[in-house]
Amino acid sequence: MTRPDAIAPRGVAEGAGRWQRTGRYFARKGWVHLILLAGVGLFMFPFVWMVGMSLKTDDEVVSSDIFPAIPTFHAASPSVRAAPPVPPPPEGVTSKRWSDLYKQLVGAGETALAKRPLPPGGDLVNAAALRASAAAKLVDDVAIPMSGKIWPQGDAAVLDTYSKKLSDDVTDAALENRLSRFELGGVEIHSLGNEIKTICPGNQIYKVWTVESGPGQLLPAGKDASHLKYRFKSGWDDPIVLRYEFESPIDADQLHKLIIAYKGDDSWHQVDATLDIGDTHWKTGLTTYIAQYRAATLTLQPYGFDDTTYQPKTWVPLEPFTEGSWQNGDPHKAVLRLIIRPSGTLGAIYGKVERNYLRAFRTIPFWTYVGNSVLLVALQMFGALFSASFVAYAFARLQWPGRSLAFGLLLATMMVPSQVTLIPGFVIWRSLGWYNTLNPLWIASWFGSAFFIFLMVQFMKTIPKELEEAARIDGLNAVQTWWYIIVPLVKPTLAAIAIMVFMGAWNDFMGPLIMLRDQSRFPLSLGLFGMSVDQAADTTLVMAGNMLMTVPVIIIFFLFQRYFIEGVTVSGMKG
Amino acid sequence: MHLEPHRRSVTGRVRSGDPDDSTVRTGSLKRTLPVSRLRPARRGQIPLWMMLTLFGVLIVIISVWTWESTRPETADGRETIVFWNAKDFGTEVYAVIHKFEIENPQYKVVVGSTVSRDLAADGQRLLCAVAGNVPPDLVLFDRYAIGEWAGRDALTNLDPYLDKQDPKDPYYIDRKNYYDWAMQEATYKPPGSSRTPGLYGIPTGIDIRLLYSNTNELRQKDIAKPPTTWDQLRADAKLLKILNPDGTIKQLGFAPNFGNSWLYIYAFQAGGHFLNELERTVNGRTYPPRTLVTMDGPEVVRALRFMTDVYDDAGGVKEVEKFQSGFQSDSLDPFIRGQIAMKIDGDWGLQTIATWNRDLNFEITPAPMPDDLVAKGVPPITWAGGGSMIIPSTAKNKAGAFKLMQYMLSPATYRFLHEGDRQSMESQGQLYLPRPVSDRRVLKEATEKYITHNDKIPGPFKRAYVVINKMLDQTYIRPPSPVGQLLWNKHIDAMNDALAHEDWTGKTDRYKNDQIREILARNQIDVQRRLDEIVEPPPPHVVGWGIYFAAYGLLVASPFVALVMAVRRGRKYKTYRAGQSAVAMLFLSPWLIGMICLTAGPILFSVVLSFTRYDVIGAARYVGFDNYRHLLGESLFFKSLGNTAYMLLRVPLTMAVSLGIAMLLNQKVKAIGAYRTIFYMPTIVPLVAASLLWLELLNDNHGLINVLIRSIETTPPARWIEALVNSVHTFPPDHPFRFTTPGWLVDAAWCKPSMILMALWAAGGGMIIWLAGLQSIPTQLYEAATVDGANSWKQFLHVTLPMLSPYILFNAIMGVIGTMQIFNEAYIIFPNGGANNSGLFYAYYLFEQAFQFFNMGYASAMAWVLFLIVLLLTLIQLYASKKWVNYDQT
Repeated sequence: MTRPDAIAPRGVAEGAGRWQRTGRYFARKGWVHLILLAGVGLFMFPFVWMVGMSLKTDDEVVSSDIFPAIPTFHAASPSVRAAPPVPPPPEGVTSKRWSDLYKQLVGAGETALAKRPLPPGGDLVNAAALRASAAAKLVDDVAIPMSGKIWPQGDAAVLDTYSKKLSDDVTDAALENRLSRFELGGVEIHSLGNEIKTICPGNQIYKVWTVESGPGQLLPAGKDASHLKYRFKSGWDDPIVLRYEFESPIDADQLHKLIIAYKGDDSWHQVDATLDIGDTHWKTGLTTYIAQYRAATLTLQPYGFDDTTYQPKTWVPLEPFTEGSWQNGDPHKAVLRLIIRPSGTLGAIYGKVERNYLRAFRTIPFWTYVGNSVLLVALQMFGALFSASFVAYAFARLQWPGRSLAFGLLLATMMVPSQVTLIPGFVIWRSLGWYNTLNPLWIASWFGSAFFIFLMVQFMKTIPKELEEAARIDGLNAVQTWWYIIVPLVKPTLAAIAIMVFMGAWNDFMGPLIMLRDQSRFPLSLGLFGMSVDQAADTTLVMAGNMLMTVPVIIIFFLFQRYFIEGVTVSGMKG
Repeated sequence: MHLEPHRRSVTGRVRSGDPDDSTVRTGSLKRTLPVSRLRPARRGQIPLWMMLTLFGVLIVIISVWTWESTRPETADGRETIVFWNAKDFGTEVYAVIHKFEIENPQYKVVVGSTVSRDLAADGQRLLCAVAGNVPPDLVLFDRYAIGEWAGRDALTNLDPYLDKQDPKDPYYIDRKNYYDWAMQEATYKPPGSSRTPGLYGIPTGIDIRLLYSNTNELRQKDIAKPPTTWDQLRADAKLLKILNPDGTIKQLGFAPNFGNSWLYIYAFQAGGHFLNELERTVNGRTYPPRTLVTMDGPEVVRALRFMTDVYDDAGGVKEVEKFQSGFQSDSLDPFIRGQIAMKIDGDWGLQTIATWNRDLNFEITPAPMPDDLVAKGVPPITWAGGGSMIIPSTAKNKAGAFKLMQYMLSPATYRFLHEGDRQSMESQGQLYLPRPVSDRRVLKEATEKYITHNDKIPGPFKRAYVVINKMLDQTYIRPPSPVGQLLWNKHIDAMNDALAHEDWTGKTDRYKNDQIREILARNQIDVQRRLDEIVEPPPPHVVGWGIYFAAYGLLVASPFVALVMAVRRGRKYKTYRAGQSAVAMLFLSPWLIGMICLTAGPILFSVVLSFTRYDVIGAARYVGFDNYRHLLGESLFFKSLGNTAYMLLRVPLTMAVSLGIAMLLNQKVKAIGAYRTIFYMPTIVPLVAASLLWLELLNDNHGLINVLIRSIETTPPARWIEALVNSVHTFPPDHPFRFTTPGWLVDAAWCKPSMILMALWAAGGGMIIWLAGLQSIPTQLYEAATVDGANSWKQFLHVTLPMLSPYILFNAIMGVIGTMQIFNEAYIIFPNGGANNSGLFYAYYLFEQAFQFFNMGYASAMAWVLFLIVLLLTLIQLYASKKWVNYDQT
């Protein structure tokens, strides 16, 4: 092979030479890098998408965006929601005609909307933008469901029929629909005696709640709710504090939960709350971010029996707090405060990143699962390392009759598929009474896996005999020789085995599926699968859980990459 | 112990610092190490005694922990009641259970996730728990599975508990309050036996099938009211069908199996039964009730014929499926959008409408009936299923479970649960529609409170509840039978087979009916065989394990006897030192114990099992070669084998991809480490996580791959590909190839390609081995080839491939073995085998047989067949490898 750089003229300036060399390198190998980078894109994209999915809101999943949107500071509410996308043409309408007709329909809608007053809070928004968005919504709601017989009759007839359908009810509903507001839909209290009491219906809130401080104002919203009109100057502006004084129907110690129905405005502002009933004072232990335009509930719940179960914890914990508290005498006098703190762009991003992960942690007993997984990994790793190195010593270093025969037997068992011993295994563990314990999942590793023993034997055979002989002369017995002489020398193989055991144990799915009953004993693999079954509709939550299971493995991979590669190569060569 | 002084002597010697610089050559370490570096570690090595002590402590901790975790009581002395599927009772079920615990302080209720997608169809989790002797104490699950489970003695007969109740008990369960047919569905007696039937579950919820009609769509075609007879239904469906210009379906009037109707409803309506209701004599053999599968009876044939006719009217089931694959859910629900004008669906469809378009103008009516029966005045018939609460037969705390059951089923509890659900729905701005329940009092009260006297409920929903209440008196059930699940599966298989029938143009009615009868008869064979097995007295010979244990003991002892003899003789000839043999046995002991108890023993046990019928709960009985014989006669066995064989495609594909990557990386490029890491990363993603990720990636609507395809679907390149494919291959003129989104995981044809795609993503794992192989090829070979004038392709063919051949062989063998055992990803991605069982791979089917149907003998036979297949494939590869593998490496 010729080396072009070897005949390059010398004496060129140092920097230029480097650039030239780089250029030449890319001229020769650039195509390799191009293909490899394309491959990297292909192989990495599912990962990137998984990360993106784990950060999405439900709306973003439904709208099939590839990546989640980056939230920004949301200064004022109400605001105008973007117009819905153009629907596909109805039956009998060509797409060419539709693009024109759609504009006309929107125009007709805007004409009808112009006659109507804006809903409360509409003064904060650009009226034209609101009407345009509402007009698009009207096409979706009113025009598309029109009878199929109308469409072929010509634009004038279509527009005529459409305009007749635009009653005041319909247009007002469209205006309200396109106005993104933070709506409050009522407060209910559940007692520990299982009574459900509505303490404030949504359409009363703007009358009886007060704005204690901050740039906000409570206004009615539709028939059943009230909404908060606000304008923050920046992400560091003072929070809005809403105050509601009421007569609690129950004693403080009888409170199970207090539920506030609300509808978000996708602002990612933060909501905290305090609650005082009589002389008991609570504040929320978690901050809720106002995400999405959807109806949702803010459930405030002091520590109680629900916290001892494995149910998804969808509530916000109330923590007792005494600081600055007062005695008010009346045990049923209650004060609820909602503190709405603005999120700047960074705060909003943080809220969005945190949201699904926090939910994943609170949906499953995550740390219990992790604990079980770690325990299984530790026990299996310990057992496999011990048994592989211990047993291999007999095969590799000791002389005994029948050794080659036994070694053949060991290799033969590697050929038997695991399915053969699956059923007898279940029968054995069950007759020991070990169903629903972790034992069946790790015990076998303590008695040696044929493959690991085989790997270890191959490696041990390469260690010079002289060392042992020297140790024997020093008076070490066989076990000591194994422990002090052999084990330190087989560390590379031990590391490779440890990695393989870790991957096997962390991944084990069928074992727990068959052998475990109680959620308290699930490892992460089965627990995560359980979450994907129980919360099947909640894609973003499942993807966040997926990330939580994958990230530890990736971290370990980066830390011990060498041993991963070595393990694969060793098993590939020797197997 | 003498260990202590020895240890000191060693460390002492090492500490003295012996300047020994002599070196030894270590075999394949391929480098010389100074012996001093091979010396025992000075620091960092835990002393042996400490290690042994830790070991002992660990064993004690584990023993205590095992004992603790297998006790039925909690630490505070309360008895536990483990309650599965409680969440199906609604959002407030935990509050109810808490109240129960306060009223009954001796109990602690543990509510857990079952991790089961469908406890009835996939009862694996529950059956394992029952067989494991630690079942949950109380389970809410599908009523129709009661026959199946009671038939396996997995359930407790509740009659004695009901009879023992005190009538004054506020939580008294009165049989009279329940719909009779619901109670019948929970009642079981072994078919053909004269035992009194027992009640094995208390019915809870109901799901009932009704005809949904989109009134707006019907009006557009001037159809005044929803059809009441089959002929009207067919005529209306034809009227409501709209085609696209290219002949595909744009809107459908009715699809018989869209929604949740199945063949059952049409068969019931035609007067058919799937099991004989009366004693019958066939070929001289008398069958008591429910022991003969009558799926091929004329009424069922008629029902299935009706279904095929309606599909044929719509352009064939393929066309309809293609149309349905574009369906979405929620607000884009096809019924709400009018894509399908009529459907027969369960009552839960009402909630979908209420959630996504409560103003929809629709109507609920009883499903249409055959015309001749309507003329005769037969009232409309529907079928219903639902839930029930059961107590497993081996439950530890049956008394507590029954108490909790009474509590859960009381009207007060229902009232609270309904109110909680209402609150939760309404706070999200949605309508609350209570689901029907089997307890008449509760249903009446809830209907009146939440529907009849609720102004918020729109008219169509109010009318729907009237129809539901009326139809609950005309309801059929699937017969409780020990083969209920199999019958259900097979009825679906038969239905799918019949709907995908050959081209029938120009065929007579009689021919069509005969074809359908033949399909039904073919699919009922397995069911009848299972039923016969159950009805006939069990095989007479119970396996006596004693003799096997004795024989196995002898077998295990013999090598040790031989060993002792060999050592004795060896001592004479000074071959072996007895001491070293004893030491060797000490070192071997973990493996020996494992080999005897966990490997060889189970293997032999499995051999014996494969000749028996065994369900873990009862005794094993010899059946000779029956299991193997049945395997050869079973369609699913071959289907799963075929699926697995298809997946073998992934072996060469992944090998090619990973070799390609390795060759690129072998180009002496920069940043090779980073590339290697990235390509390797997909293999380390835990399989559960990877499967769930691909489940989303391949999702029809929001999956990344379909989103990308959809974004280029309308661009010119897509047209070019279409034109190219259509020019290469001639498709039927009405169905040209279209570049569009495939139904990756829902379309039977795409299931396996999806799995291969997933495997390709993880192809980087093989790359490492290839890279090692490539780097071991001496460069002289390439230089010589260059001198000989070989271009790079020839070099690849004549140098690289032969030098890599041992690696190819290794990867091929491992790949084939791995492919034959695919389980986890298939289990996660394809519940119950996937569409048309196209995701049912061999190991998956084996798992189903073993842990879902508990046919342990049969599954063991399958395991041995798998072993033989793997062995055969490996031997073939090894044999063939003699021709192409080059071991002449260095």
